[in-house]
Amino acid sequence: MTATFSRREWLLSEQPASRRQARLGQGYRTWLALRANPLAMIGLAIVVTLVVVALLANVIAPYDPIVGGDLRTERLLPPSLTHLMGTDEQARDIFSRLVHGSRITLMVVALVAVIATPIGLLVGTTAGYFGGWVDTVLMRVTDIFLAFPRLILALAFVAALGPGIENAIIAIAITSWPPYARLARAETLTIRDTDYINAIRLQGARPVRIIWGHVVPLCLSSVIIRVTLDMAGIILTAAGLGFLGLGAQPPQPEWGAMIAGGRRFIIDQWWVVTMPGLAIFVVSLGFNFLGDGLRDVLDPKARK
Amino acid sequence: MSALLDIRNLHVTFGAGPDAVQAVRGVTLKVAEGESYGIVGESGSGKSTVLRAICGLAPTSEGSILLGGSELTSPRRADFYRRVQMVFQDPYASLHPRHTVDRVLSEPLAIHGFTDREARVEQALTDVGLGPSFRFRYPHQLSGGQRQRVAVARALILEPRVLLLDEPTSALDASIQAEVLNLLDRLRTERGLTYVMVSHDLAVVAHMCDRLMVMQHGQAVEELTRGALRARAATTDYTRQLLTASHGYTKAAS
Repeated sequence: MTATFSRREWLLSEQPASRRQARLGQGYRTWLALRANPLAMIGLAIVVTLVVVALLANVIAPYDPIVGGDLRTERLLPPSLTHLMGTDEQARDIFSRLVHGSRITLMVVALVAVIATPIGLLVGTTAGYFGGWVDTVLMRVTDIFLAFPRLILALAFVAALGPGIENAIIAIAITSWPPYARLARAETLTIRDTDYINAIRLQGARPVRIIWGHVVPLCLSSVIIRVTLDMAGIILTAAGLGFLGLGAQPPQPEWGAMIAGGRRFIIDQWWVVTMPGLAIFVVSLGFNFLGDGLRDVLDPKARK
Repeated sequence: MSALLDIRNLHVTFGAGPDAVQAVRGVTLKVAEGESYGIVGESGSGKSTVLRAICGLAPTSEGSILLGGSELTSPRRADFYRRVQMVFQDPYASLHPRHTVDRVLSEPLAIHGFTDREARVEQALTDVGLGPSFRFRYPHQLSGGQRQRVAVARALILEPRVLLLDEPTSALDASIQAEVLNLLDRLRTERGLTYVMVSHDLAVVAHMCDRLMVMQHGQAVEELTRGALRARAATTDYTRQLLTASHGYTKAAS
């Protein structure tokens, strides 16, 4: 009898027989809901493409991204079959540079998410759960960070530590966690006094267990949504720092730095700035679509 | 009478200064081991707050609560939670929406360092009339009655001596109410539990409890036995009003 069960039925079973089945079934339901949203799927496709391109950059890129071709004959060539997106002023293939640049973009996005999300969650849930002076201290610190404009603080930070992509990432991460902390705190305040938290308190659980096992899972979805929606801004900030010469340093193929390098030719050789600009635009849009889709799926309040 | 639970002149005040709300004002009661004690009153009479004060969810501003002869500390010690547990009013709000039944039931066992968790979880589900097939479900896959059974199982899994019941059936349909009440009755006889039950429904309390206290405005109005309640031998006007109200309701409903 069980052998005739299809995988789908197994996943959607109302009577899961194991922890694994229950968890997978829950994930599968979320996936079904996400799949029903075309824009979210476009966003997901763009993000997956970015990841694949970054992983296979060596295979996909036809030319070396750093060392250009013949400077006498191959400078600033328009897009053609040999150079899909043309070449820049150092005779480098722009398509290859974009492909390799996706690694930098992905690294920025991933590292900022990995650094900023846990900090924001930790500060927000701790402040919200304990309240009182803990809340006051943590939230005033958050306010101080929020009071700085992101790009300016990142600029100051990079100026202090020296330009470079790593410092740019740290600078962006430091300036992007406060909104997550605020969000997590607001969610925690609504969760803190519910009966299911009271119930686990009455089981004798310590605050660490309650925050980590009971509060964080409920804050996580809204924070993930917010992080995904912020990705576009993070990519733009990284590109902005690159454009100002404070992010990735030449000859690294960072998209923002590529735009900065090509702006001298913007009138006559449009492709030099347009192609990286397009890449930034498409990836930012992809993250926004995905974030919107995730909000529809994960946020119970936005559900119809 | 040797009291298992002894509450003396309990006051609970929320807030401070001019905004302070006195939810409970000088309640004294004794519950013997194995007894089922009811607290009735209208909304806002402070009856739920008494329960919350017992388990430490509401602050005790004056008076004392003794369990088994020794005064409770604030915050409560870990072994308190193995002796006293609570079932909440709304089963839709008392189960974590992202946790399976399995997680809900195993977590208290993990906190208190039990080793035979698998067997205990299965046993607890069977005890409340839910089979093992419910073990890995999420709350949204359960009905209200099933959720309340899970909540009862969670409260009993640490094998407490005292169960605090905060209107355990008021959020349920009439037919499910009877089921859950019968379950609670059966568990009490089987395990010799002590119940303190809060309700605004006199019929439920008359069915479940040996003795009861009527509360109004945070104060005890009077204490009755089940027999006195059935004989309508109330001594105060307020209790008589409550009785008439519930009686009129019963007549109109039948």
